[in-house]
Amino acid sequence: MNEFITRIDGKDTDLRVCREKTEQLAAGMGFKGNNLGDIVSAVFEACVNAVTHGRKGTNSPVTLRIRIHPDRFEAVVKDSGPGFNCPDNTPIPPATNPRGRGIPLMRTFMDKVHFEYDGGCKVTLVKYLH
Amino acid sequence: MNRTDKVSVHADDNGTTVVGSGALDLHTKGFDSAVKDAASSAESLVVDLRSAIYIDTAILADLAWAGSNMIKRGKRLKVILSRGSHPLRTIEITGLSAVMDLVVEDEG
Repeated sequence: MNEFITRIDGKDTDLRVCREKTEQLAAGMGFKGNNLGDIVSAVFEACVNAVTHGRKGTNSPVTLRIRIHPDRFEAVVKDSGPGFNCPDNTPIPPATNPRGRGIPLMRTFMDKVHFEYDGGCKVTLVKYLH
Repeated sequence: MNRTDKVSVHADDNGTTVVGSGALDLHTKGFDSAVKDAASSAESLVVDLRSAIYIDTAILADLAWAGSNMIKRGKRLKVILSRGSHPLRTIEITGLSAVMDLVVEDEG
């Protein structure tokens, strides 16, 4: 299978299925150790952000699409929310800050993180097999 | 490797130890309350994540809050992690060692 698509309704089981599937597919490509952990954590954070901030109502769709390429793992999370502005150089906040670590961590863990607005917020996360 | 999240709490007059295992996240029952309650009142607080596979930013937020609160009380949060684990990597990257003491142990 080269592609996996699922809808996320916000239940804890949905998010955990996404995490487990991400781990399964990335491990199947050969990612392991902390590289595998980076992918699993980044995709999970993107899904949580989409569910938390990108749903206009409880029925607003959030989708996760994972594509397996010969040289890279790609995940796309899309919601129908208003989007947001997060500059590429947004740093990891100080330890005393309660929040704000999700996107900087995604950018640290993945080789590419791209946000775009397309009728909703779409984030693409890529990690290359090195 | 077991990804099911589990939290246990051991408390006595000397302090509290919160043990988290598996994949810990925003839906992990009991971690948030255990850590924050102990950080507010316990004589000492140790969070044992040696068996944690993943931690998300909700768990990081709980640890950050607990660490800061312990400092306000004149104490220091201790977090135990396994060498080479992803939770250790995540905590080190986010600089949370500024508000807590990290103890890194080799996997048994």
